[in-house]
Amino acid sequence: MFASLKNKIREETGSDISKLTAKITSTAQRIESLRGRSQQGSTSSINSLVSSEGNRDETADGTKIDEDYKKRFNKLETEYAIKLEEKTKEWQGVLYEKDKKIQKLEKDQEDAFKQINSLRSVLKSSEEMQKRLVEHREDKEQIENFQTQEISKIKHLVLLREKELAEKSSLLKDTTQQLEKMRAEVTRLRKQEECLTDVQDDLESFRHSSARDMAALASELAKSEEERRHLTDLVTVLRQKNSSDDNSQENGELKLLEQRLEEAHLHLADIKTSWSDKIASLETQVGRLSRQAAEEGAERRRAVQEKAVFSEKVKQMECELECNRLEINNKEAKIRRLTSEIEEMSKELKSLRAESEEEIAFLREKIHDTGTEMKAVRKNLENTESQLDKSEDECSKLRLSVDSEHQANTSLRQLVAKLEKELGEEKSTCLNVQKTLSRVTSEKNAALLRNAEISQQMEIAKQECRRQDTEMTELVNKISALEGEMKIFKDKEAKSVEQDLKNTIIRLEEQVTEKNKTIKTLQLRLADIKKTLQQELRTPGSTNYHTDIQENNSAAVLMPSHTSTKQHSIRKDDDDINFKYLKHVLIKFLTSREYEAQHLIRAVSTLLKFSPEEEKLLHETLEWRMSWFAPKPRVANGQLATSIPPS
Amino acid sequence: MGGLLSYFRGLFGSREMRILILGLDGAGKTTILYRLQVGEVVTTIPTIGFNVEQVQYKNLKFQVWDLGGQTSIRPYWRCYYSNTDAIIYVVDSADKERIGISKDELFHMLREEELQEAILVVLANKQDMAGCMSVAEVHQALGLDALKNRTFQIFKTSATKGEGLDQAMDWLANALQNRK
Repeated sequence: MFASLKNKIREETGSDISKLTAKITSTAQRIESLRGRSQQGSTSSINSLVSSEGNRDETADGTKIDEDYKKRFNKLETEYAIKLEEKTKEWQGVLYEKDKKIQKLEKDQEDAFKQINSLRSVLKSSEEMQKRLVEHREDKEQIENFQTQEISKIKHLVLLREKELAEKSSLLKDTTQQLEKMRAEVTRLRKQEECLTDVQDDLESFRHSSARDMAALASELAKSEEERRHLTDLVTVLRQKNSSDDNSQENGELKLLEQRLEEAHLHLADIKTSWSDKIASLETQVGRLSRQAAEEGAERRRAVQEKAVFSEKVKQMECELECNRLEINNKEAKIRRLTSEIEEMSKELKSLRAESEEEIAFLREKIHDTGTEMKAVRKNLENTESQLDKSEDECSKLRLSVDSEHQANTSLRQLVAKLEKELGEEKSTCLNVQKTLSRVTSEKNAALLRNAEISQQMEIAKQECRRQDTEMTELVNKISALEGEMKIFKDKEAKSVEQDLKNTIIRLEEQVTEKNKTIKTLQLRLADIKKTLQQELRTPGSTNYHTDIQENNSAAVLMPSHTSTKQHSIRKDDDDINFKYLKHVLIKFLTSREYEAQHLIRAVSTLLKFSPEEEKLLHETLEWRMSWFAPKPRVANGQLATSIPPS
Repeated sequence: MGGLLSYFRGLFGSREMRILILGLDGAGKTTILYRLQVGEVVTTIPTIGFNVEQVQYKNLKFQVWDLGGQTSIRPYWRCYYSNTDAIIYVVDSADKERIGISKDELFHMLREEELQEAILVVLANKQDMAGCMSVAEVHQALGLDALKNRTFQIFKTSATKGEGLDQAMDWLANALQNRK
């Protein structure tokens, strides 16, 4: 602790501690000499001391003090002005730097914003790309759907055609079978035609023969009729000849002839019937034949018709077959075409698929790229944002610090103004002090007188005390004597006497303690009076100037008051509690951390009645201890030093 | 070392709230302070001086100063007023004779320039005592109706039984957070 202190002091002054000890010894000597003088003064008459020192200074110092005051004031002013300027410059510089920093930060912020915008645009484009990819995929899926639909349609169509084809081919088979049947029938019918033609030929020959027979019969019929007419003519001529020549012979001959005629007639009738029968049978035969011929003709016609119909049918079927064949060919071609189309489509589909897959892969890559890019960008963004935040924080901090600097500046200005004001006030108070000084000196005389009185009283009290002490010793002696006597006397007597003696001892002891108490109170009172005297001497002002004067005076005045007095104080309890309070606060102040100690400065300075300078010094010292960079507070040198000088 | 610590605290930590506990002697200030800090009733002697403790309440850190309330050291209260965030003014509800003095001290204190921004919490303490004044009576006796432009609230408490202190601290923590 001391070593560090020593080092610090060495750093501060640059001189060794040994040199300073010499200084200290010199100051100590000075103090000694002063003390000697003051003791001299105390032994000598007070009045002469006051007249020799007080009166001598009073007149001469008036102007001197003024001048000194002015000088001090000027010096203070210039110092403050310089300090103020320095401070303002420093702050301006700091402010400028801070402004620059702020501008830089703003620039950074703008850059970051720009970057953010560019990254946002990249993000947008990537999103569009993604959208397009999705659209593409949808298109592809649609196309595939369409293709599958078409293919299924085509397959359905092909199946339908195949079914139709199968139907047609079965129909064709049927028709060819029918055709074959028809052909077989036709061949059979041809055979029947031949038969029919034979039958017709037969019929023709029969007709011919029947017609010839009929003509022969008709000519026979005509011949027979002519014969009959010839016969009838011959009958008529013979009847006329018979009627004319002889009737009897003729009768007989007529009768024969008539018989004969009748016979011819009968014979003719027979022939006639046979012939008619023959004709009738022939006619029926002809009719039958003709009927047969008609039937056959009809049959033939029917067959012919049927043949025509069949041939037509065959032709039609052939046509149909041709048609079907053509159709089949067409269909096959169509199927081929469709299959080729399907193949093409599938190829196309494959190519499209491949293409889309490629595209998808490409787009995926792109997305991946963009994702990584985006991540990077986001990171970047975050970084920039955090940087931004930091910079903003810093900015706000800087602003705050700038504000605080401004405030400090203004407060400094105010301080200067205040100090100026104080200076004015002090000028006025100076006059007051001068006035009061004379008053105080007179008072001081009175006080000294009183002091002397008190000291006299003290002396008396002491004498009394001494007397009482002797009395005490006497009494003790007496007691011992009585005790001696007591040994001689019997117990009862001894007891009563002892009682009496004890009572007297107690009384006397009480008296002694009372005296002691009064002595103590008087001593306290004396200290109080001393204090009030000091206060009265000190009250007019508290600047360095006055403390200088006071120290000169007090050194002379205070010394005689070391002797105790007999004055009694009522404020003992109060002082006691105040003292306790002071002790407590001081211990806390000394043992607490600087942070808490700061809050206690005011309490301590109030309790110890510090001047504003001393309080300020305490404050600055604490701040210096707490911070790393604050300057060490300035303290006066020599006897006025408020801190331990460095060694 | 302490300087370094407090320097870092100033850099990183949130500032501690500075709270003063004031009131006449024997009102129960020290008991309340230690009830808040350790949650127990401790035996106390009249405080000549002060007590300082760190009190953590719902993530808020308080530096609570309990100042002795005896008549002769009451004038020193004003030495502690600077940078104070809140005042807890403790009143002995059973002490009807000195309530007037308590009122005078309170209003004398509130007139101080340094305490214009401080939040005031009045604790009508010793509610467990027989024949004590109610909160309304304390409110009336202290003349709190006359207070304007001051965030304040009165609570009835019993430091020895630990009643009412939580509500008061809740309200104070909220008020301090809202003020920020």
